[in-house]
Amino acid sequence: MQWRRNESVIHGPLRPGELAEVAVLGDLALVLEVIGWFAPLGGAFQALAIVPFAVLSSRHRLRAGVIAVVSAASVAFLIGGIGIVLQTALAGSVGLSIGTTFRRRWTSGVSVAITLLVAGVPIAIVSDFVDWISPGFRRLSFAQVRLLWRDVVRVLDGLGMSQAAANGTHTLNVATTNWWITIPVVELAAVLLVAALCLRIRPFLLALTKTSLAPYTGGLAERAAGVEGPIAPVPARVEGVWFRYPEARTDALSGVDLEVKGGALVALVGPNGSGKSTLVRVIAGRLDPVIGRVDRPGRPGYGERGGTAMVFQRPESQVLGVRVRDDLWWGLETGARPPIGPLLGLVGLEGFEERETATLSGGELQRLAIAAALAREPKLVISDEATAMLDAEGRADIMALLERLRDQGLAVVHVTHRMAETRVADVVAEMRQGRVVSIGSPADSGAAPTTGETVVGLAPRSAGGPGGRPGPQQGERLGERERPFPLVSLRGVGYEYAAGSPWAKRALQGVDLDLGTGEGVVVTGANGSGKTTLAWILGGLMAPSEGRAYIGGSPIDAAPGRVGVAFQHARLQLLKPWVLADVAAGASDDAARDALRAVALDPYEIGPRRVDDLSGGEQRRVALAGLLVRRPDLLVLDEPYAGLDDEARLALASVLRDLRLNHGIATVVVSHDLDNAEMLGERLVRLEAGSVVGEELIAW
Amino acid sequence: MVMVDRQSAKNRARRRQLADLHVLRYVPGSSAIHRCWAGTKILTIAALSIGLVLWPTWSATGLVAALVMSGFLVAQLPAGVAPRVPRWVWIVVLVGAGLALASGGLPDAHLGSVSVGVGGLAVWARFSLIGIEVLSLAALVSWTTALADLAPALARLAGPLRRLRVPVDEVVGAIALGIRCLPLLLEEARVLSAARRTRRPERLHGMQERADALEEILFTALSSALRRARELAEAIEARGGSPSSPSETHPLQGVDFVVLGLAATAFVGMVLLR
Repeated sequence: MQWRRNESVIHGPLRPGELAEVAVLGDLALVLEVIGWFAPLGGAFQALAIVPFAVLSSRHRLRAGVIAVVSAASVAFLIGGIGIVLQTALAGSVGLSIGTTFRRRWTSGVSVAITLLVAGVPIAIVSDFVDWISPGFRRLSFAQVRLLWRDVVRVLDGLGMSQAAANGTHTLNVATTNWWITIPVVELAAVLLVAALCLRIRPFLLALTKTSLAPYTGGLAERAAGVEGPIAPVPARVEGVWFRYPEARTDALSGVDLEVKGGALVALVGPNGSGKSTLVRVIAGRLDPVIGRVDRPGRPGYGERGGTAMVFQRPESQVLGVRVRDDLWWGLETGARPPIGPLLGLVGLEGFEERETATLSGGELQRLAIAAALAREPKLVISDEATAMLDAEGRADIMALLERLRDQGLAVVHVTHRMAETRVADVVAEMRQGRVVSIGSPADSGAAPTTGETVVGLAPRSAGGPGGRPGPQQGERLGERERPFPLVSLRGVGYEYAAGSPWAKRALQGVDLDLGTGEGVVVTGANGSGKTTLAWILGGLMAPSEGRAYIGGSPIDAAPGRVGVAFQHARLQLLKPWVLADVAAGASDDAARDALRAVALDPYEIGPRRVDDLSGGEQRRVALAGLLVRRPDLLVLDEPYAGLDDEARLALASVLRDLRLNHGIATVVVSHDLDNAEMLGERLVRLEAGSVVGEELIAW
Repeated sequence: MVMVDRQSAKNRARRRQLADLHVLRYVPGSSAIHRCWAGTKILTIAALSIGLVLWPTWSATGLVAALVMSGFLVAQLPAGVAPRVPRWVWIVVLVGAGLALASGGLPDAHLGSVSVGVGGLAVWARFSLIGIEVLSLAALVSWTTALADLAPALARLAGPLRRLRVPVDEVVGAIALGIRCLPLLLEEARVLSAARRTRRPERLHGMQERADALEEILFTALSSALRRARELAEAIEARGGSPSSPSETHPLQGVDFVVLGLAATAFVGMVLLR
């Protein structure tokens, strides 16, 4: 219902939500076409390129759909020339029309008929026209068909079916001489078939609008309300603010007071779902409180010069330019572009202006995002968990930068769930369930020395020795690991991406690692140290370029099912829309419930929920359950902690310990984050530039 | 055991292709082709590929082949840029050639006392060559052009359309963002395919299983893409909500006129030789 109402309101250039989906869904269509070049189900993938366009135009106005088709076709031309342009244009026009009929909520029959008329007929006319002006390609194609048919005729003659062959030849002749009828008829039939198949995605699309993936209508409350006047976001006083999202059953904020002023850094801490993000959106003027008010001298000016700037969690989703320079100036007209050097200097990225953003690390991307925010000379800078996905070094850089901005007189609000990061703050506000439960200076809120990074005591151990023997305190499980053959053994493992091409990049070299049944190993190292590559090799997802990676005597990549890999981006691992159906795929419902219990989730509470409604931590645990039903001997987890709050981390760590101790599953956790390392394993392996530089026992 | 090994070797090869898939990757260099304005290159490949498809004669095919090859030589690209061609492509080409040869056709080729009609083979060869040439033209541009230069060039090329009230800047903004996000989406495709392998058998049997697999891949990819779009939308909003119009500052040089002249000559040649 809601999209219909919005649709009648929106005119003019693309809104942010539309532009983002135009770019991303257009890209998805291109990716499907490119995969079609070499995937086993190639043709099917290329036909699927229709779907992203259908999804887009079922959610947004025609303008977005048309721009998506035109821009995707242009990018297609740069990727693979004129052939893929035609594919994209065909997929786009069919997707556009079927998606629009979905948006208009027409019945299935009408949808197919309209698509046939709006997409099919023009396609037929255009192709007739092109074939008419260029007989060359038509004749070449027909010559090809006739040649193949001559082979068929020979086979048919050999089988004594000369009559059938003659009939076929006649039909082919009629078809090719009357090409201006044959070609359109074939095309119309194809469009009809595809449109009918597309009806199958309709329930999925409708369901999406009911999840957190509904079309993004944006939070520019002030602009929508047409508020004019001078921009002055701070000092801002939040007074008795209540907020509830439409269709939510509980309040996101219930009676919050807070003050934000220039030259002060406010840290907002609290677990996921405590209302931190909602509160900063209210402060930024993107959400209007239901009750209460935010008192400011002017309007917040979100995203405007001298107003409010905001930086978010996932680094690579915030960078909008191909080159650092383009990104810094994104959205700024020529006259309003500040010099780049000083901005990059301020965030510690000197000399980066010509670098491609795709080559930057997470920490560098976040600093670039802050620099881009500073290009608008904001008075208020809000970090909505900008440090959550970063390693220790990246986090320290961001915190130092936020401090520097505060010292320059800006108002800074930093949302985090790490107490350690509140030390530099002037005010620490702790939130629980939509309320500020404590407010004061860092000293009051116990942000003192338990920084998380120092909880692990590490006993040094010589590198590269035989399989890690745990200390005697590990008790009875020791005996199992004394076996002559470890479960997993890596010998001299190396990996080079794109070997032999100009983009070749070595990620690993000479890695030796042994792992016993039920053993826990933590692999750590900075960005680019080869951690993730090692995780993929341990998971059997890539074969090493050199060396041997074996599990129980066979190459890991030839033993699917023995190793489960949990990815940082858990959504990509969930294959069905509902939790129980997802976990149960390939197993019984009972097994799925057991697996959900094993990851400390209540199968009857979470089972019937939609995958897209879960939090990041829940998605990660559901993905883990999906791996457990296959009864793996080894679980490899890539950055399982990223973006999780303390509570979710602890829950995940104890799940992993339980799997090791009580189910005998070995675990390898790959992480830059050593919080609770003692629960994750007995051994710590340090990687640096693709090599193992140290192995240590983890002391309790 | 041999069976298992062959299967896993096949799967390994397929995985490598996805891991090493390079779409729009730039190879830095300073050749004349690298220095050429991106718009010149785009116009050139557009003219050559359209000419090739409209008038696919042997002379056009040869002409473009010569131009593509000299382009690669001038750009001094290392041999390693060539993508690994999947085995099935070779098989299709060879089987097609075999069938074409079997169906004969004039003219005949004489090998001692044996005479074979190679007309069919010639048709097939021309057909395959055109496909390869169109792809190579696009590859030549993406290997020699920094990604960031593409959108501003398109904006300048499409400039005249502004007078027809076409929202050129809006489209170019979408193209630039699309180019920026393509590596993210490719990486997601790589992770998605790996994630699937951790949970599903690698071999599919029957149409139903294949259809289910496609449906799962599609819906997971869509969900993930929409989530990504949502994050991007927030970031776009935080930067004021709309892209700035790209300003093209690259001056046209001598090399641009040479390349454009060659392209125009080739196009006219294709028309005349049809």
